[in-house]
Amino acid sequence: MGYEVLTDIIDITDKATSLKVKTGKVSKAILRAFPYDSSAIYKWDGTKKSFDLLSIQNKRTAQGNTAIKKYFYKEGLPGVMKERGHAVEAHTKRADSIRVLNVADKGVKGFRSAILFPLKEGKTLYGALYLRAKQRSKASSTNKRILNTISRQLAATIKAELTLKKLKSSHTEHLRLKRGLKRAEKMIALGELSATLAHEIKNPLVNISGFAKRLKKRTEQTSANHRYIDQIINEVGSLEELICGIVSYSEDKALKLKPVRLKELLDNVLEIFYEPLRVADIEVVRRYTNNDVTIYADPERLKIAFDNLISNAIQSMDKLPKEEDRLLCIETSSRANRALINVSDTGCGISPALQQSIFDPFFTTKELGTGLGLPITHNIIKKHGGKIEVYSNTYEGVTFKIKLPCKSNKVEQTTSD
Amino acid sequence: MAKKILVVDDEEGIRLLYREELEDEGYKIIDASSGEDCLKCLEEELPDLVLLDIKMPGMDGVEVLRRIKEQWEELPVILCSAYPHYKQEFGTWASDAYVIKSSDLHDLKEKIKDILKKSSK
Ligand SMILES: Nc1ncnc2c1ncn2[C@@H]1O[C@H](COP(=O)(O)OP(=O)(O)OP(=O)(O)O)[C@@H](O)[C@H]1O
Ligand SMILES: [Mg+2]
Repeated sequence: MGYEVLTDIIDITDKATSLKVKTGKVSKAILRAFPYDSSAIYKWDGTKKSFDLLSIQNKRTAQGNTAIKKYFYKEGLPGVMKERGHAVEAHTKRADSIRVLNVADKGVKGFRSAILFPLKEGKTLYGALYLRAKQRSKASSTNKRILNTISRQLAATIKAELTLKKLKSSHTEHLRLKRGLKRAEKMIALGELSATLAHEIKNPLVNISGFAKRLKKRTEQTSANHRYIDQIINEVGSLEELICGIVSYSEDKALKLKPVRLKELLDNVLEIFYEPLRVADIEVVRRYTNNDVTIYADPERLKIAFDNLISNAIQSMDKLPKEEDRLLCIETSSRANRALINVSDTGCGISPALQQSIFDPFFTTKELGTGLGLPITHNIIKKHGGKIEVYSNTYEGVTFKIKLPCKSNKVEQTTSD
Repeated sequence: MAKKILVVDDEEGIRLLYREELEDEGYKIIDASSGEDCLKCLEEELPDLVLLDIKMPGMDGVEVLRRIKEQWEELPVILCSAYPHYKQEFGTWASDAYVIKSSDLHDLKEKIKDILKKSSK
């Protein structure tokens, strides 16, 4: 008898609600099954060394009685229980007394009996189950056994909650790190971009401003044109400054070369695209013929290079009609000190006429494209002493063929600062 | 006699700007629109100084610089670029000066003056 309560308890603790709700329901079930008037459940806080009240349930008979919110280490009956390491039971003669087992515990005021069970799993303490009765009563050994079992179940519940919290926070940390990484990559991409932009924008600016200055020299100082020209010179001047600022801010740094395992790098990049690839229903085929091609490269820069290729491939295949196969194939191999990487898609392809232009800055066929993806990729590959070429493939898509030197001496060694 | 400067830049606007500004300073200007063009010009007549853009399609400025220094070791060359960072890479060796492109040609004119003074000594 009495064991039915265990099924109830397991049911309750299995449901996904908050710890407060769960423990409250457990208390209710306990009060239904055992001769107690109040059931309180505490959580042990190992760092603050205190028992903190999670929830309390009273029978009508104990209405108005509250429980102590917090017991510090060695305080009251929870303190005694912790000290002894097992359940304690105490009785008082008078209901208004607060002294039990040689300690003071305001929690027993208004009750004649109290029993506490440690919520333990193995040697680890997770909390306390604190039951109080209006009437003087001694728990039977059967009841104690069942309550012990319930306590263990409660301990497991609290432990699960703690583990979940830890997991959640480490997941959040993971996401934060990943976001941080993404940002770092963007900064590097910005560096590549500004190098490309500087030339494209700066030259015309120098031109406009240079000729405006010449025009000024040849214009009468009193003429209104003089003022207009000043206006042009000033504005273009601030644009020039801005461009110089951007360039020196993310100056095109020397490559940070180190041994890079190609397979690992490519897997890393593919992982970033896990979600977009899944959403676009694209199957990824990896053909790493030589599993450990190691090259000397700047991994962060190379990632950006491949990042651009893969996002282009995804965008191209996203335009296909639903029923057409979508394959992204990444192949690697090595030959005579050269690593070869092919990035192929089954997308909409690039006409031979356009293939000549795709590496030009600002060439784009996309409404929201910048046309800087491929020039940046091209820059990065070139800096590594490599080569990138585009071919139409038999699946009506395109294949980008990249060659990279394996050995460091083939790489353009830039002086680092 | 007026000193002769060869301006090498793939952009017509920049060539025109340099020509006009430097002619105002009393120099004689010839120009070339590519690295290959520049080398051809040098074969025909040797200027007192070359103003060389780094980033050009085809043979880039650094390659042109290398060839100039192989053949005409004494010929002063000023490298020009929109990128400040090339300075550490190439500016210190081989070329006689390095300027970052700007509409303010004051710096450039000073460098030209300096170099021509030195080389005519
Ligand atoms: N895998 C591909 N399949 C089909 N067309 C492509 C592919 N990769 C590139 N292109 C073409 O080349 C053009 C230039 O690509 P690039 O990455 O430089 O810029 P973008 O993708 O248009 O812009 P952004 O990279 O800023 O999104 C694209 O607009 C597209 O027309
Ligand atoms: Mg792109």
